[in-house]
Amino acid sequence: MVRFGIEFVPRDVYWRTVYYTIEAEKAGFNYVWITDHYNNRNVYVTLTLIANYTDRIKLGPGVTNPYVCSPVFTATAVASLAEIAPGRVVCGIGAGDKVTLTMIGLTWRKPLAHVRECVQAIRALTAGEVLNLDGKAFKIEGARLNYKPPSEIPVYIGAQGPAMLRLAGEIGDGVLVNASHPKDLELAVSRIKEGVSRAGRSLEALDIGAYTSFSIAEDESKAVKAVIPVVAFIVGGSPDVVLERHGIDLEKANVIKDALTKAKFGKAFKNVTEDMVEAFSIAGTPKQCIDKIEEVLKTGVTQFVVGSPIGPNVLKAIKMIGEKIIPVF
Amino acid sequence: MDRLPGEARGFLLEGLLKTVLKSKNAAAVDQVYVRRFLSIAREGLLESSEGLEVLLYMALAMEKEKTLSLLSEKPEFKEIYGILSG
Repeated sequence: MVRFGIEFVPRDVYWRTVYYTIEAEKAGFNYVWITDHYNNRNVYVTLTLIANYTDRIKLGPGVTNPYVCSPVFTATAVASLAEIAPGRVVCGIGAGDKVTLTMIGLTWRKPLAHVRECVQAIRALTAGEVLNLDGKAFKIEGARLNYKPPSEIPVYIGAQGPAMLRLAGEIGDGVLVNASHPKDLELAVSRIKEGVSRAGRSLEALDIGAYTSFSIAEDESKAVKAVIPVVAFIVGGSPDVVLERHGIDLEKANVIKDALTKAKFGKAFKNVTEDMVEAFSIAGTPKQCIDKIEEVLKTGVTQFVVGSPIGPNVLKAIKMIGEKIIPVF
Repeated sequence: MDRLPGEARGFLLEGLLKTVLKSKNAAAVDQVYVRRFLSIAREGLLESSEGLEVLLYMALAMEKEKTLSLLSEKPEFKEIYGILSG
């Protein structure tokens, strides 16, 4: 059975994110993922409050990275959270965003080693073990938490590139793939399978999440309008190979990239085309969204994550998904 | 609040929620009310008299004019409007 997740970017006051999560839990979502960016509300403060005001929904950073937060910090943060929400905590780890990390004075290097060792460290520390890690990214000697969380904490790996997807298949309890289109997801799942077979694991042991840009409304044009800014940023950050896979005009994409670099957001958004929306989001009426989710699930995805913007009206969108989408699956 | 009929409650809940979720003046609301709001929402009782009262306090703190304007839209809110508009 497919699981439904929802992603919130905590750029708004904490209580609105908590309230939306309360409603998401009532709507039938199984997971809430909170993004981790230094310039938004802190991910663990937000998650702690979510844990306090919800009962069933699984929750975790989606995703944090081993550059801003050391694996030791992340381990104790999720372990503490698990005391508040036993059996409900998950942890998403990704390689972070090079541009942002550089901006805050951190060096983005050896992403595979950082993620691999971070997962290793979190697993050992949250299992109550003494951690000795002489890795390529981290040197940790004799670290140990003074307590053990009451339940295991599954670690998900945020992945997009082939090598990170393989690593996720090799060592993750789950994967969060940043993609909305079946073409991208099919390719991602095949890479994940390579990692799974490299490790001699079973694919069924892995929860494969599609972290989509999603927008739902009764009026298709309103749903599409809401997703355009998100699509513009995805196009701006996509390598040519990804754009070409979807037959997107590189010149048009470059206009958007250039406009975003110069902070001319209006110009960037105005240049988003229908095929870009189609390639990088799931946007439309409930019926249209159901059809697209069905296609996504055929790729082997086991968790469908509703990501930003969710809809032109977030509360209405959450309720609409609960009434018209989740029961279909 | 107790005397409000069901339909008016639904209308008021929707209007107040829209106000508190969209306002750019979120910092104006007292955290005591925020915590009560979240607890009541968790119980699924926002449409109760207590839920509507808490939302009304929050909306008034954030957007007094808009909230009073919402209350002036239906005759069922006349008494509440009279008290709040002084």
